[in-house]
Amino acid sequence: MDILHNISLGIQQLAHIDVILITMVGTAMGILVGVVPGLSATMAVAMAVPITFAMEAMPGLALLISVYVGGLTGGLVSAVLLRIPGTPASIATTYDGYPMAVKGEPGRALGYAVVASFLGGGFSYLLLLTLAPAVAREAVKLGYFEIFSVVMCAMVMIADSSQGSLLKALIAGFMGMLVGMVGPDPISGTARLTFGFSELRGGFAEASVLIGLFAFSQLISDISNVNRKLPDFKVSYKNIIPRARDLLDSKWNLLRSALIGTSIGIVPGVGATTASIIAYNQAKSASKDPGKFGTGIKEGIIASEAANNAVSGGAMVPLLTLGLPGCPVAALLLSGLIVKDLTPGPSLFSSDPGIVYGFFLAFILANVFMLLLMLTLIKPFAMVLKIPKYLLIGPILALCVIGAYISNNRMMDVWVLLGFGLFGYIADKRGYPMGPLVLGIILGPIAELQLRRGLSSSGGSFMPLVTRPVSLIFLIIALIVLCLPFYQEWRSRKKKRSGAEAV
Amino acid sequence: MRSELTSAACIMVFCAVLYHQAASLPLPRFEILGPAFFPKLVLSIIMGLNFLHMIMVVARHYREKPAAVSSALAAKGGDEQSFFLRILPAVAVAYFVLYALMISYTEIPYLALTFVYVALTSWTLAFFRPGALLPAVLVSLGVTGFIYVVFARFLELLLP
Repeated sequence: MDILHNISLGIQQLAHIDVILITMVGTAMGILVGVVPGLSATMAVAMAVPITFAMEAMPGLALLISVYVGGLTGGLVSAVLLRIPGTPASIATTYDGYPMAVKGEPGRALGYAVVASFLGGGFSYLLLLTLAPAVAREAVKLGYFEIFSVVMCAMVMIADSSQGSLLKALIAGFMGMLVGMVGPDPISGTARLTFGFSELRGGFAEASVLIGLFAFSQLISDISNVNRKLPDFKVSYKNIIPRARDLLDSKWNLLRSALIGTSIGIVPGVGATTASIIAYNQAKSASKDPGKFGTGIKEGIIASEAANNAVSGGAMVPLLTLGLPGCPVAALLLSGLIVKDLTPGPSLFSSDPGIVYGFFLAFILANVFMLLLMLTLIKPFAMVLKIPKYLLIGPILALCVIGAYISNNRMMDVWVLLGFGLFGYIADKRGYPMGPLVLGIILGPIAELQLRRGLSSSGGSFMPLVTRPVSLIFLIIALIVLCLPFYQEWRSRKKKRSGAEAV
Repeated sequence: MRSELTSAACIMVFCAVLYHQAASLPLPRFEILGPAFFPKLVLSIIMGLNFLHMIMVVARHYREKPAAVSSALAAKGGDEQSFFLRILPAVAVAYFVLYALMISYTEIPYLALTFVYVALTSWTLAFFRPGALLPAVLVSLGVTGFIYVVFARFLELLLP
């Protein structure tokens, strides 16, 4: 009864014409950005964050959510038509989506991908609706030390899941924590690391930092591809709506992929790309004809797209219940929530259930709009691929400036955007990943505050970190995740050496 | 190896400067750790990890030296990107800096500056092809109009 009452509160938040229109427009904008290779859902959400500053809470959140859902799905268009994933999460869709399109069935391939995205996402959002309140009830029992350990474990897992060197990912994560410490100390209010600049007394504007790292740096990196000509493609509405029989044949594949996506979404740092690849491989292993994968069969498309959209629901569980973003987009949504004076965590479920359930229902609404828009407007969306890249970069950079400016109406934030954009560009070129850096910026202050409060309550003793079971478990997990790559490298070197000796 | 060690050295210097700044923060008064503890801890961790990274880079270089030399020689011959394409990111950043400076320090209206900036950036990225000028101008007009309508009129926000 409680959940039904909360759902009705959520519907009340959502059932305004402006919120519904914003959700529809946001989904369309997200799809348009997701379609273009080189532009990502994360970039789209980063650009949308400053726009929400002038909006009420629910319309602002609905915009961010709908842009995210649209962006995740938009990537399948170029994945199917050009074999180039529009977003990294659609990489596994190219394996079977493109061959099916080449065989003369682009409409059918797009249809399977869109419907699988809808069903996978829908499954995870319904699970979110039921799981999140239960997790929130248990999360209330977590103390300062437990939350600190969870945050440190999340940081290590995010670093471990990043591309490239674990050391560099850890360095990036801790540098992010350092960036988050610029500004007022959370307990005493003393200005830290400001070098005397009064504009930094309040810290860096989050919107500027996020737009700089995700949008500006990525666009500058992408300039080297400005001349890239995309191959010709054909789009067709023929057979775009899959037959019910075809979907029922793949029901276990759909369910398995949606579960994989949702579970992976809950784990910090892993992400939609990994989820779609794992789901694809699982579908292949479970298939009676694994040899047919890669030749253009529906099971491959369905597995990849169901999983990558299902991640979005799972990723919201740690965000809303613990206030811990497990991926860059969740970090952006967190900043969107904080700007509206909504602090995610167990208390939000009791203080503002209407907003929380409105948040869940916004995902479901955006998912429905995604399905309708993609099935009816796939041709216009695909035409965006024909726009030359040189016409996209300048406008997006201009939008970055206004996006950074409007957060505090000062040019300092535009310079912060430029600074972090260049920093992100150089860091990326040197192999320091963005994901841990951004999450360090968000999670660092949380970790510090929780540990300092915990130490105040324990009289300065660090012992509760290891004597409290939940805290100890997360610290052990963090240690295992940290040591595992080094252990694996040592074992493989030992094998190589013994193999060489045997020869 | 040189570029890796240069990046790592820059990080070390940067962290040392920040550590010096953090060391001047006040001592804790009503709690155990104080405002300086975490910045110093994080900086120490970064410097430690960085040092480890430098050692691993050097060790890997000496372990894989013959392969690294041959791949470096191969890479030299393979890179044929034109000079203009290579400096294009720097040009785009320079345009951006100029744009931001002009917004900050001149009386030229923001929308006019935005129109010129977007058109110029788009045309530059098209390598100044004559056929690309008109689309660049039209897109620039569209974007400027979009910013005015959405931000200034619809959201009623203050433009720079």
